[in-house]
Amino acid sequence: MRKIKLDHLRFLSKRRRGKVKDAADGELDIRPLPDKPDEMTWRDYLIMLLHIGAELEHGLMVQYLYAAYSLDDQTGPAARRRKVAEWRNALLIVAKEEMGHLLTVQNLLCLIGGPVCFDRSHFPADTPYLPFPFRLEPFSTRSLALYVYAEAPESWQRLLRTRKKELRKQFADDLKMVDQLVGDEVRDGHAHTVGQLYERIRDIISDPDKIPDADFRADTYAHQASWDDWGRGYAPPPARPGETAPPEVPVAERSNILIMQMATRTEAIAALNEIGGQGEVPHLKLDRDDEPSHFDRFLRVLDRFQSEGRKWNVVHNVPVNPTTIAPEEKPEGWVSIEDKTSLLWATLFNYRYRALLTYLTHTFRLARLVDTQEPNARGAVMHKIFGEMYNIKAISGILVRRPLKDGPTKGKPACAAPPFELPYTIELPSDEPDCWRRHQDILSASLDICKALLREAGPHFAGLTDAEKKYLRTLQQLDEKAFAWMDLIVTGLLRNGGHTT
Amino acid sequence: MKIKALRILPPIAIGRLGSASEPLVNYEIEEDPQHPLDFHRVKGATTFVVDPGTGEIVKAFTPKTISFKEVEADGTERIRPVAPFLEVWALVDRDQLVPLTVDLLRKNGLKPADVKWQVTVANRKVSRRTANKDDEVSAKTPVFSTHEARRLEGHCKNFISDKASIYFGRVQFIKPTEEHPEIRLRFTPGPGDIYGPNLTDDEARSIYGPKPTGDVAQDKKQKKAKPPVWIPPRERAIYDWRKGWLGFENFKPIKPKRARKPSDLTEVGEPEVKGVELERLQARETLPPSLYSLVPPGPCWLNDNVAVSRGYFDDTCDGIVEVRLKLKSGKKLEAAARISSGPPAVVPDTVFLRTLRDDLEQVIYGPWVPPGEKEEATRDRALNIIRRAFDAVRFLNVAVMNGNPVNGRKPLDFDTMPAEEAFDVQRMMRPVVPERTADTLMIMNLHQQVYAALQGGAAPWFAHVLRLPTEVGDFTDHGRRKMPAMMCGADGGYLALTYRQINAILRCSGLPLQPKHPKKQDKRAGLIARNRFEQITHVAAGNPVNSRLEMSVGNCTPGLEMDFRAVWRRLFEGIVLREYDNLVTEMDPSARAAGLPNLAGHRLLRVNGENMFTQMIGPSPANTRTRTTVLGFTGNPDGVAPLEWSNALARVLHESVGKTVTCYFTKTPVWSEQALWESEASHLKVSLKVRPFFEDDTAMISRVLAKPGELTQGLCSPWQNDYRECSCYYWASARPDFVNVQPDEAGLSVGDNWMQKERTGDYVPDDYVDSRLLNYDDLFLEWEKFLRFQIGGVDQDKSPPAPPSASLK
Repeated sequence: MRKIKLDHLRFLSKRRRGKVKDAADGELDIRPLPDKPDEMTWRDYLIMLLHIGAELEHGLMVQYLYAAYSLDDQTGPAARRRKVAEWRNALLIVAKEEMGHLLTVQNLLCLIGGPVCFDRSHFPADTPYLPFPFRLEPFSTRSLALYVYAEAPESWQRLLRTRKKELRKQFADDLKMVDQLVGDEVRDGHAHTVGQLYERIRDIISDPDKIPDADFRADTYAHQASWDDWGRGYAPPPARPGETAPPEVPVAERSNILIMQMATRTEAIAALNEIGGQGEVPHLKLDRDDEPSHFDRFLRVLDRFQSEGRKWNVVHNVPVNPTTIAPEEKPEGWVSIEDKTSLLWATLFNYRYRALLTYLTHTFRLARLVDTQEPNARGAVMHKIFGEMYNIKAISGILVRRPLKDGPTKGKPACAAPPFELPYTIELPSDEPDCWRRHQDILSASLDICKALLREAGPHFAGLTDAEKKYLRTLQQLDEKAFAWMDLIVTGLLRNGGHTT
Repeated sequence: MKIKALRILPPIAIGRLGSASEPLVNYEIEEDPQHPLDFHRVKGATTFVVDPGTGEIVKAFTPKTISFKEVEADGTERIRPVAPFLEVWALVDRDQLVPLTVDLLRKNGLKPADVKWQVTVANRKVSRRTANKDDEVSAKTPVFSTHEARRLEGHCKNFISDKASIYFGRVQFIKPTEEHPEIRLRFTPGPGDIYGPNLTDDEARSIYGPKPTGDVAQDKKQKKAKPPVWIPPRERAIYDWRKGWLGFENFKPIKPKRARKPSDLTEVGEPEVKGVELERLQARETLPPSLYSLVPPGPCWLNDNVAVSRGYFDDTCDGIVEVRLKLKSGKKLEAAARISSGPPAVVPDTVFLRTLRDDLEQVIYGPWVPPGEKEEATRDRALNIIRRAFDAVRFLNVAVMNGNPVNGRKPLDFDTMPAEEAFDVQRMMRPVVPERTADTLMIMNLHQQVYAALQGGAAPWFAHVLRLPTEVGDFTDHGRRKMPAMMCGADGGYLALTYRQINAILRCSGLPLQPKHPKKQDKRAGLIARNRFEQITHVAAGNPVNSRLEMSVGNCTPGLEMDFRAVWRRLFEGIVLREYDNLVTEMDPSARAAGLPNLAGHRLLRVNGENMFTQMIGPSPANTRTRTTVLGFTGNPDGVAPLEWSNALARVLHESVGKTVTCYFTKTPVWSEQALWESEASHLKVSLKVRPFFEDDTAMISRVLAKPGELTQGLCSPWQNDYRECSCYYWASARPDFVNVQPDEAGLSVGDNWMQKERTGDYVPDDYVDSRLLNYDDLFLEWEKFLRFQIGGVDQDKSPPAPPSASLK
């Protein structure tokens, strides 16, 4: 594939339809997003774009998580560890907020009457809508530059104007650095920012000629994901007496998960503005909002990492694109996890990732089957999703401390890493009892892996740390209880006809 | 080896009531390493059998199973009392603490008979309310060095005679033997009896109306047909009913010490005192209010704030054990420890989220994580907190406690924290979390998943959802959903952990500690603290885990074994504070020497720049920027909520013991209303000295801070009331809520209310008046039958045999 070299700041310039005048560099050419195919209805096209948006948010989230988990904030001097923890936290905050975006996109899909999408394999990795090819990459100057790029606003000029005068030069220098770092990496056809996609979605949804009022399904409001259910306290604290605004929270600790339910076009546009403002399109955010955008956060981390951390050796030696596929079968550009015990852990990770995506899909389905005001199985599934997030966190932490390959290595040993591999499907069966059996299948596989790892006479046990053993035993017990709990639900469903919970 | 000083260890021991002839055997709890999420296993430990006559330990054995109750041949159920031992330790060369034994005494030219004991205990629950010192019940043994059991007989000026007494239990100097040569004393608490007024039948009739005959039709015709009021039997009818406790009403006090007539108790009247005197007397009210047996039965707020006392006393107490030894050199050594008695720990395999040990740890170490504490130790503490959190959730009907409607019934009718909050701030009730997500097993599972991830080495990521002690008045969803949820703290708001607990999690999360950590630490203080900590957590041989601080409810409203709030009342020289808020109730005798003004009735607003209160806030749709409003109302327009002392004063205590701190008080007395800090100029600035919390370098809580009886005086009287009406929510301790819990076919949790008489699997929500639940008199009369132990989360009075401990590879 042909690589293109971008000029300084060029990739940040705006031109969606034709050419625009750029004050710094004159006229620049940027490829627009592909147009809607003529035969496609606007509604169908919007649903497609929202699916792409969901995939995009999902993909970015996973890549940010991978980079965050690759950081080692457990070793070295305390001051350094604090810094590393700050960078790691910045990435995790953005990943959490991307989860909010992902859920809001699902809500938009519900509103328009489209199917929800938690997959990320329906679109080839070189889709022209993605900012850069999906790649699990450790924390580095280059990966950070890519993230800055992905979250960059369409118009650097407008963004520049929002900066204080004395900071403009620094800002411009940072962007120059991003340009230099990313320039060679951005492949042809990927020269789009996330903001471009959301601008397109916003334009379509705002136009009653394209999406008439009748296309909005206000009745899905109660089925949509809500901050109440999913936000988990990740929001600015309330103002105290005497304060005219919520209290200041250090940027490093701030997290604001936006999950918006919507019933109308106006609310849909507001939601797009909000997530655009938080992530990729800073000019959309409200004037009063001083929350740093994802672009700001990444730029800040990049700046500090460049100036302080580059030589610190604080990144685990994890591969780019780890996989559980054997070396002889893996696709080009992927790195096999070969150490047998690490491979089991990585497989366990994949099952937990699969469980998370399957539970997520199930909650949207259950929302239509249960009384949303009463405690119900959907609530339990929702809590399980958070449980799986914790598992992903814990197993990632374990993997990056484990060897990638068997046997001794020279230099800093290569580490295993969370592969985030997708299953053959996350589609749910048609019948409700079968959905629960799908969950049980995943739990069974996970239990088998735990058992294999914990078998005292087996090949893996001796290599486990105490913490790993404790984790596996706890997980095993949780899964056994969950399995029995699901048995009860299936029994109840079959007794009641099998289709509802 | 010369004896330099003495200590009694543990410095605080908790006895638990029970009328069984044999005390509870020794047991420990341990996590099952193969099944880390299961309830702790109850495991027998070395138990001493003491000959009551000789005082010797005649047998030591390890029980295979633990029986918490005895059932007699006639079916009478009796709970085994918890009778802790207190060991004497000697400080010898190189500052080592060693057990004081016959041999060590001999080496110092002494013998066991040279060891002198004296025990003083009291029950001040009634005098705490009536403001009448003559209602104090106290017992003091003579100095003794023999080994027969000494009865602790509590006498009171207002009892009918000098001979009338309450039996608080007994103490016994255990006779050292060759096999058990250590010097120790055992405290066996009372049986859990209720005492009361000495009413004749005529007097009872004139007050309560005729006794029910049992014939419903005839009883209906009776003019004063009311629920019968139980009167203790003749041998326990010891209180002179004319002295004020019978018929006592906090909101309608009579003149102190005036003799009562039956008509005083039946006729509606106005308070006999007025003005400041009335305010002063009403300021004796406890928090929660009217924690005593009432006519009519039920919490006062359901009866127009009418709370007429039945005049009961219980046989709980707290006090001091002193040991003295005169050395051959003539030097006199002395040591002391505290004992208290309280209700049984009915969930003996589970540890509450915030215990007395947590509060005392904070006193010893301060609110922060000590700089020298190893990361693994901090991490273990954080894990332990999460473990206790999911253990607490097990016993909590999350859907009901969240404020969900129950089968269509209004949630305000049930005793829950969101209902309490609605009453307190006079606002509509709202559930804490979305109703659809509130279920016990769901939430417990989530907590267990957190526990699993932490076990695997993940750093805690949830520090932002921990409630800071200064956030207890935040009734926005943001505040109410913080952890711990749905439980009550010492200040009546939502429970917060101690700063030290919170900071353990913050430290593991890499976040800044709360409050800001001082730059310099006193290293010497750390050395002493370590010693104190070892003393306070010392496990005396033979003492079961439920006699220790880690099984005792911490600084909550008000507590079960002790009202730990009371220990802060005299922390500042010269003033005595109310245990639950910032009101100065009286001046201390030391005030005169210090030249302090009379601050009685004033309110302490700020100490060394830190507010002693917060303001209650709630959600507001009106201001989209702040999203909040102050929850003010008539009587408290600024929504002021005083903060619990244990956390509010943690920093002051850690940094300023023996030093003078700058305090600001209201300029004038405000006995009955809360006050808001305005500015330095608007308030009265007074410098006060901070008293030491412990005596010298021991772990004995200073006798200056709390006299015998004061650490239990704010608790319910009798203690059984706590189970029926106290809105305290000590789940997973001595007062569980949801038991026998299992999932149903809808995936939701079903089980019984622990207070439910008949176990049906259909939870009966707690609304005070439902006849399916235990009522006051059930508990007064048959508490040993009705308080059912929970082992493994189900009704069981006896532990299954525990497998041998296995440490996994």
